[in-house]
Amino acid sequence: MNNIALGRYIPGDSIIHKLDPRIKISCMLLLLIAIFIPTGFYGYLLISIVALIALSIAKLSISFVLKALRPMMFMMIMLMVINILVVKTGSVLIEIYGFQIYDGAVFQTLYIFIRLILMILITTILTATTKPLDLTLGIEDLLEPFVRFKVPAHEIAMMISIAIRFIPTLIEETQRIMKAQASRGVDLQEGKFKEKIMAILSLIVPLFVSSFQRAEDLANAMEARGYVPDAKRTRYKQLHVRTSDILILVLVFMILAGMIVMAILL
Amino acid sequence: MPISFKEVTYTYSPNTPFAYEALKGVNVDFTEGKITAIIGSTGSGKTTLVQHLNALLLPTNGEVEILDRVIRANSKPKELKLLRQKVGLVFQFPEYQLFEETIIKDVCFGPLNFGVDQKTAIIKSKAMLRLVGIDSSYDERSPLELSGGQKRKVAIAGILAIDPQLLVLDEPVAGLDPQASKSMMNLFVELNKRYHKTILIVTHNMEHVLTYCDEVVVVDAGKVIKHVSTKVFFEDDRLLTELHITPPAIIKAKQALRSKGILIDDNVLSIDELAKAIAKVVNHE
Amino acid sequence: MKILEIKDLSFSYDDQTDAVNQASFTIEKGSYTTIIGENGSGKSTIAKLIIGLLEKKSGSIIVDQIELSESTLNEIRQKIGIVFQNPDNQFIGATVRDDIAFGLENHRVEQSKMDGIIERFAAEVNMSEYLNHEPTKLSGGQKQRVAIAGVLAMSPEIIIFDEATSMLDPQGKEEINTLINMLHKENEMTIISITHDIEEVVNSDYVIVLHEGKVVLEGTPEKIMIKEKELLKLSLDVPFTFKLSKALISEGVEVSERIHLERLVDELCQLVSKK
Repeated sequence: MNNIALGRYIPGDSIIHKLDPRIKISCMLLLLIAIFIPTGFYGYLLISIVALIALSIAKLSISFVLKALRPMMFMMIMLMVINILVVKTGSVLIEIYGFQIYDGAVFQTLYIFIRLILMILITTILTATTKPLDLTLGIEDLLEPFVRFKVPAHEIAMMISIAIRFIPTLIEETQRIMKAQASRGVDLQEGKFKEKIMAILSLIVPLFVSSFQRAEDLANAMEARGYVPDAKRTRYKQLHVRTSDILILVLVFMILAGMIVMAILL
Repeated sequence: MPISFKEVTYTYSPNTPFAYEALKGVNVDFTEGKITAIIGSTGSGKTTLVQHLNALLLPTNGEVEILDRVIRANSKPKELKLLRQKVGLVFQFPEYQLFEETIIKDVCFGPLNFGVDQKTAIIKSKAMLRLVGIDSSYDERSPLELSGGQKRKVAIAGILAIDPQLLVLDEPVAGLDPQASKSMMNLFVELNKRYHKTILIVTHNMEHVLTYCDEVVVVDAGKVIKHVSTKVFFEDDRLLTELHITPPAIIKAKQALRSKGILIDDNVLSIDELAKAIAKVVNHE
Repeated sequence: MKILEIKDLSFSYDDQTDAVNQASFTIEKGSYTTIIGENGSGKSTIAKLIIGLLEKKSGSIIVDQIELSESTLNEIRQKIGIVFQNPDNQFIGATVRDDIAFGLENHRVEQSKMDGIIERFAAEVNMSEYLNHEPTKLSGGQKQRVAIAGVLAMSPEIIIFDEATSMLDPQGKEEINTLINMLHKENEMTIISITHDIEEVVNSDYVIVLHEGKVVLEGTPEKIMIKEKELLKLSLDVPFTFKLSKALISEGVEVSERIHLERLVDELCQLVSKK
């Protein structure tokens, strides 16, 4: 668990940590859109600068960022290699082993790479500076207007927050089951293929069974306390938008507008 | 064959800000061939201690000697499987470890893992299922169909089928109704008296300690602070109070009588003996 | 005054055997009733039927003169709170605060009033210091106290405890039993406790014994806990004091107290001082 940087919350009290989650999610979405506006090199430079500034304000270390990028590295490299070999725009740059590499392809691939990095960077800044439950509240509020279109915003938020609440419990339970099965001779290290499958089954099946029981117990408890999925409820946790939130949002809008202008001009 | 701890310490998450020393130098020699109760309040270290018995946990310092193995700190013991066949550990609420398609397959899981051949595994498993009181009509059914108490029995049969010399049980009757509780405890007595298994039971139930256990090991704040016979343990009123232990009903009765001036001998530990002793006092005064 | 009436209640999980079979009993307002019976006798099923978590097959459930039906479900759920057996599986919120708030949110309590209610009931169960704690940092007894606070925050008239202490260690059991007694004596709540704990049964006002979904015995503890033969047949235990008084009588010591230890001891003292 401790090595997963992608999606992990890093406690802190920077300005970005204190921003309203709704604002942060909106900014993230706006910036993601901005990344895809075709402005060439300068556009990406602008967004990169914005991202790096945000990173330093949030006091996130470079090593943390690199850890977040690592899982995607392999996929990105594969993508780029395929792209370079397949795309044939522009003029031929060089030829290797019978494969022709076009300059258009190189630039395009470079841009894909940059876009991917920026996307991961920006979403990482969001998840690193926002507590999972606050994120859930933000999502719930942002989806509220879509409730009339049958989007179950509140139910989704309830599901996410319950899932988050039970993650530590599930981890504890997994460890307990592993120990119990180890006492019955389960050895995850050694053993033939079939034995390893049984070993994994001996972990997964009990987890599933207890999770189903837990779900039933929880549903009973929730119902007994008056929870009705579709019904209106008040909410204990409130989110408050402050001046700093509005300012940042305006700033991001301006960046987006700037990108659009750049795209038209260039 | 020894079952002993020498200055054993254990720290969870060492070298992190969350480091927690659960065992602070445990010294104890469990008596082979007896039923020993391991008692102590929650957080005293009982569960950590018993997990050293089958090497689920390895000591941070000190030495654990179990049967023919010695496990020292900072060692990487090999072939732990052999040890785990000799020391059967049953966790709390073991019904959660059932997972196979049928009950007989689940009970066979353990023996098969320890290299027993299919045929022998089935014979042993059936024998253990009968021993814990599960009728043969259940053998081919799914373990998930059973009630909680029955699942518990199947889980315990699963460990018994491994035929361990030392049986360690963490609160084996927690949550069972009084009748199921009684028959389970009597099973352990039978395993001890008839099959000569050494049995260690982690428990909070003082009635059971008094009724079924030969010796008591008390764990407190990461250390073993007492190891005495059950009789001696319950004669020590002060210790019971210090440890905030609710004594068994018969001890409570003697304490109540004593507070009103009726003194009953410490040796009196059964209802019939108590009635006789009271009758003597009533008739001779 | 009757606060709960169960008449000829029946329910089946699988349409073959009745888990609850024509059960009938009444609960008086302000009383402390214990319901006992071996596992599988229908105790938890009846609790779930009373709160409408399960739909009855036949019979009637009347809470405070209101018959339980689909339309009265929410009203009745406000009058009855229930605390289940597993402390983890009823803890919904991320912290103690959030969990107590959950019921308030469901009942559309105004957000501005919530903090006050939460703090008041956390104090009542002695969990004020733990308001911001996560459940993984709490003991079983503490989690059950939070569950009770959550139930109290709805101001119910009846609280059902469905084996609420069976998964707790002795300290936790004591905490909860003390709390339940306080709720009964000081808050005058009607308590229905499904339990295996003989001491609790002996100290309750009324005992209902279930077997195979039916009420087979009911009455005060003094009346019920001495029916040794019936209780043993139902795989239930008799109190220690009863066994002791029986043994004393067979030794020629004539005692009349059967179930309360302190009273038996007093009686013995009187016998001794007489001679």
